[in-house]
Amino acid sequence: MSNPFSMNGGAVVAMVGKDCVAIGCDLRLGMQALTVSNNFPKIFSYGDAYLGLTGLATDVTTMSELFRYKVNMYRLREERDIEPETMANLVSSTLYERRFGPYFVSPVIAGINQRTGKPFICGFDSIGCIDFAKDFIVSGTASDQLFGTCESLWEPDLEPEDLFETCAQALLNAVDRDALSGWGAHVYVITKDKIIKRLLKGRQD
Amino acid sequence: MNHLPEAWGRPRDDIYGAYDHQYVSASNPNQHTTSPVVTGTSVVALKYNGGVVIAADNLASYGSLARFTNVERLKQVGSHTVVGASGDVSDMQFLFDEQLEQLIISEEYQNDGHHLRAKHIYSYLSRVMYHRRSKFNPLWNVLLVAGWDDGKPFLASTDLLGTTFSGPALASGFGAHLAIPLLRRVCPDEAAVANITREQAISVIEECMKVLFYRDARSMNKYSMSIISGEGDKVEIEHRKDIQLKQQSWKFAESIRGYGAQVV
Amino acid sequence: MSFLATPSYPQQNVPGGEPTQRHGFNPYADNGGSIIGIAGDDFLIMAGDTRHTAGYNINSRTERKVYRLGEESSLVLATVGFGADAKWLADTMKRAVDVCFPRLSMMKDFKFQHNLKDMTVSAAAQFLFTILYGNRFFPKYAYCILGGLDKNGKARLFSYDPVGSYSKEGERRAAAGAASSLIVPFLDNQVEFKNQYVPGTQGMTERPVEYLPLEKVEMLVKDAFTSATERHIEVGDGLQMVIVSAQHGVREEIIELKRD
Repeated sequence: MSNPFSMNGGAVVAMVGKDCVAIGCDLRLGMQALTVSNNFPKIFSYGDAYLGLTGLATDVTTMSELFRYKVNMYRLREERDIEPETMANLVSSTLYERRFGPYFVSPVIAGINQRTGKPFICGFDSIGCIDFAKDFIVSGTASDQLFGTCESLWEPDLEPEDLFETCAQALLNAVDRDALSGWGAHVYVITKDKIIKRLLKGRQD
Repeated sequence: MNHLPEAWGRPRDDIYGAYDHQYVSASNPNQHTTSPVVTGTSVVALKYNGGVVIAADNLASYGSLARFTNVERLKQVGSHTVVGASGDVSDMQFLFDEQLEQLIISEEYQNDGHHLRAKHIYSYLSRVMYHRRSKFNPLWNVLLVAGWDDGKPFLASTDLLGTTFSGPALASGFGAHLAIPLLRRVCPDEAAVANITREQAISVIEECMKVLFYRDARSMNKYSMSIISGEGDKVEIEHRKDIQLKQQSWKFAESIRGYGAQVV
Repeated sequence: MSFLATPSYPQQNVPGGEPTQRHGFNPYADNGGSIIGIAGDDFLIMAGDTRHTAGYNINSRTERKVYRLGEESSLVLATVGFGADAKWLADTMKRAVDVCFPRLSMMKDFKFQHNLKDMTVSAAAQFLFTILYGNRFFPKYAYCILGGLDKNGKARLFSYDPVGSYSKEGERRAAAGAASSLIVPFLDNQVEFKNQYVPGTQGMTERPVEYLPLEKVEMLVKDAFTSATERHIEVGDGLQMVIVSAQHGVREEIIELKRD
């Protein structure tokens, strides 16, 4: 009830495929059990890196804007886009700066490294410990459900379209069993030269 | 010194502080065990090809005080079974000396050639434990039942909640943390029992008792062991009492710094 | 002062009455594990892992959670939660459904009283509700899934909460226990085809639900448990499956799961 991570609800999932990655989120924003918005995306784009944020909605917004600032500064200084791996370390150190008064978020990063062409995903706890997974990352109030669906639906080396379907089904079926997530979804499929963003309707309850 | 009966058997106030009268108050509502008082620590047991070995040390602790050093925590019940108890010693004595004694007397009194085997004793004990927990008046023990049943070794556990489970290697209390890994190394599953000899089983159990003495502060270096061996319908139970721990080596202690993780 | 005022002195026992009892002993524990049941048209699979836990300890790797209620009967009960209560429920159901000791039994056996006819699934379902709700004020802390074949050889499946709530219509699939939150959305998707649409209909036509063949259901059960084993520490060691089929009778199978 007074757990900041589950006051607003939300879910994010990222998956690796063959030369591609997918990242998806739900659209709900709630105050406890009351839904106040069904258009609250939790994925933010920073050039080549995509950042998903679940947890306390105010921190989701704050962090997404903080990283917009930080990534813009990086781009001006370096005159190039930030790589997903670098972004991961930026997120980690930013979170750890607040070690004893953390932002209540569980971030997820997905992207393709434009230099190496390698897909990259990772997740974090709220104080910046990085989880470099080779398969998928889940976060949010539907994380248990997402672990179940991802672990049983995902397989290695999926082509972009199959990865989209797997990611979408894993997300949709997981959020349908979580009262605090759902109300539509966004799924991005990222390949080296193309990004497809799809809006999924999903159950509206 | 206070020689009044209510002070008998209690730690001296001048040394251990005032006695907590919550434990034994004379009047007031009738009380149940809400926490154990005098306790026995781990019981460990392992099946082998032709029987079961079970062991428990002879210490009864009163908190951190090593109160009694000659307590027998293994009891032979009938001709096929040995029960080992950890936890509250008075509850153990109630079970061993009152309940199980009476059970065997009334069963043998029939003189019908039928004898209670390990499975029956276990069934009885687990039902008593579950019944008592359901009355909110638990017997504060973990019991291991070892025996020979139906031509096979038998080993199972029941606790103060009436939870029941069985396995080829079981240990209660601290043993669940320290002895189980050692036991499961030689006996990972039921199939492995066929490859374990009596001597092997005894030496693994001895090793467990030693490790427990090293690290369990509520244990002692004197213990009892029972070996239940069978062949077909024949059962033989060997009790070894007052076993002293052998070949202790405290060499390792020299190199330990702090809690053990520190290397220099 | 009303007679409702609570006395400030310790409550004395009423002579001849039940003694007053209130203190800190916790009569429940959580012994982990998960169970699922899936019904086909004329068969059903009930499954559970065989790990028995207490906190981070593994008590046993070989404790079964799925019970057949009588050797002749198609009734199968799976229970998970507090091990002692779960086992008590299974024993009580077994005793009620099957003939064991009609003379000694406190509860009069159904079969003995009903001309040696087997209890139907729906009757067993209602009976289980009665037992669970009978313990409403000191609940048996176990989640149950009950399955069996009805008199037409069709599969029926019922699932319960600890105080007995269940649906008389039954259901097609159910999951309970430690990893139920991981397994349920997977079964939604793969058994009831939730979020699946007929290709080419622009997501307007839902994929119709149909009964799955036995081989497919067996595969889903194994997938569900290997996945749950991967991500839940209280699930693993072994997978016990009881397959009840109108054609081939009852078969039990135990396969290995990861032990880490």
